[in-house]
Amino acid sequence: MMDDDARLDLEERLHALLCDEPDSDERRALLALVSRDDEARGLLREMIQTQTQARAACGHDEAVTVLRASMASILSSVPAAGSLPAADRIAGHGVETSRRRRRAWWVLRAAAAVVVLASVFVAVAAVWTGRRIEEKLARMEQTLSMPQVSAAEMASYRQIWQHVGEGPARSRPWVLLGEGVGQFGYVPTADGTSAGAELLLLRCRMVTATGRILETFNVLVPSGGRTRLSLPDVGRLKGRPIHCEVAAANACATVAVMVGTEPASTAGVKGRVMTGEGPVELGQFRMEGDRVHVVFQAVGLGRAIG
Amino acid sequence: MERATQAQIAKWYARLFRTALRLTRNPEDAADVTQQTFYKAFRSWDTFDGGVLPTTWLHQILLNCVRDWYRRRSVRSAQPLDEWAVAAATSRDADPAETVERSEQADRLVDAINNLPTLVKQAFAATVLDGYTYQEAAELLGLPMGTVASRVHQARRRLTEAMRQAFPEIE
Repeated sequence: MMDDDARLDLEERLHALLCDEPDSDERRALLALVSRDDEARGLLREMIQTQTQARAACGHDEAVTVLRASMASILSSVPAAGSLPAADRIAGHGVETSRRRRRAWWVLRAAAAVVVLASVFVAVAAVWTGRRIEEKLARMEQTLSMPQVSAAEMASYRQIWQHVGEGPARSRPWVLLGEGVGQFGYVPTADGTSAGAELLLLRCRMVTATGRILETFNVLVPSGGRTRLSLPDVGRLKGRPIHCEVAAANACATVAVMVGTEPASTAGVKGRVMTGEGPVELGQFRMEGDRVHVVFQAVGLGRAIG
Repeated sequence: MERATQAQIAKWYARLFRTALRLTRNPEDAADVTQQTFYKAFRSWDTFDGGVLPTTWLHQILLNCVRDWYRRRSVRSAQPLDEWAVAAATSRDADPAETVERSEQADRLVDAINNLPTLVKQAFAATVLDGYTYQEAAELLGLPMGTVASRVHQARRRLTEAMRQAFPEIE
């Protein structure tokens, strides 16, 4: 029967075994112990059971495919991207270097001439891999990019606004502009809010991780007072209708975007955007193999086009 | 040497991914922040002086990436942990009775994990769920290794007991 300290010590060693950390000597010693000692075997079984059940209960089994795929992508970047200098530092952290490995190291050092030649290759590869990593990071940031509102865009808003501005009394117009979509309507004017109040432009882009634009639409709403809009068909994503809800007040708006009509396949995100904040990623979801990032930007247009 | 390093990175990746999964509760987001962590780590590898374990350094980068992710993601309908457990326990091929039973067990286990005292839960999550060694977890949590060992032991005892009470028929 083990005492508490011995048990804790064994638990630590067995956990290291489960983490695939021990060197070959320790691994052999542990396996030998487990094979001859019932208590150690029972403890290992219990540890494996707890770990397996806890991870499964917390959704790890479902995530394992994503883990593998994303890890593969990282490992493909490893050889020239820092792994070589890392090895020395790892060695200082308890990874025991076997005699065989040390011999191999000296053989490597002796082959300095070869290394010089190889280093040229590694340097070239490092630059290339470095660039690849930079590109990947740039692509991640690219999803958030959104061009500034151009003069031409402003001119077209002005023109549209002039057409819709004269609506029913005590009402304020809103405008939706998307690919092949143009709608406008009126919301009641809140007390004390003039029809010529400042305007808020809500720009939406639905993009892939690589920055490919899948759908865009813009909603122009009066920002004075509170404006609530429910826009059932602002565009289409993968053939499915996009529904947008807007609750705007002054310089900020809460927006929700839902794609699809079938409950089982509907995806959506919700969030808040403010003027002066730049583009904000409200969230992302998967649809037919593409990860869709929903990016919104709120731009205050002042009275410029009113 | 290169292969050993790849193996090491694979181990670290899995650990960080599990931490990210725990924090984001979404495999896709976990993959994103873990990849970002490694890209950032590769870029600034020269600044790592070996003063701490590599996992501690990577963990710090991961936490920064997760913070950015939180800032970016705004409000989104995240799945609560219990729903998550149901999804995880719902296997495609299992028969309905077995599925319900497993889902119930998973629910109970998640409840039991959530009911662990905070400090015990932290040690359990870092080691058993995320897969860090006791030494790595001790450094991450700023605790002596013996404290981590005793808290993980306590967590395992409590969880085993909770499961035995909930399902006495299961060995």
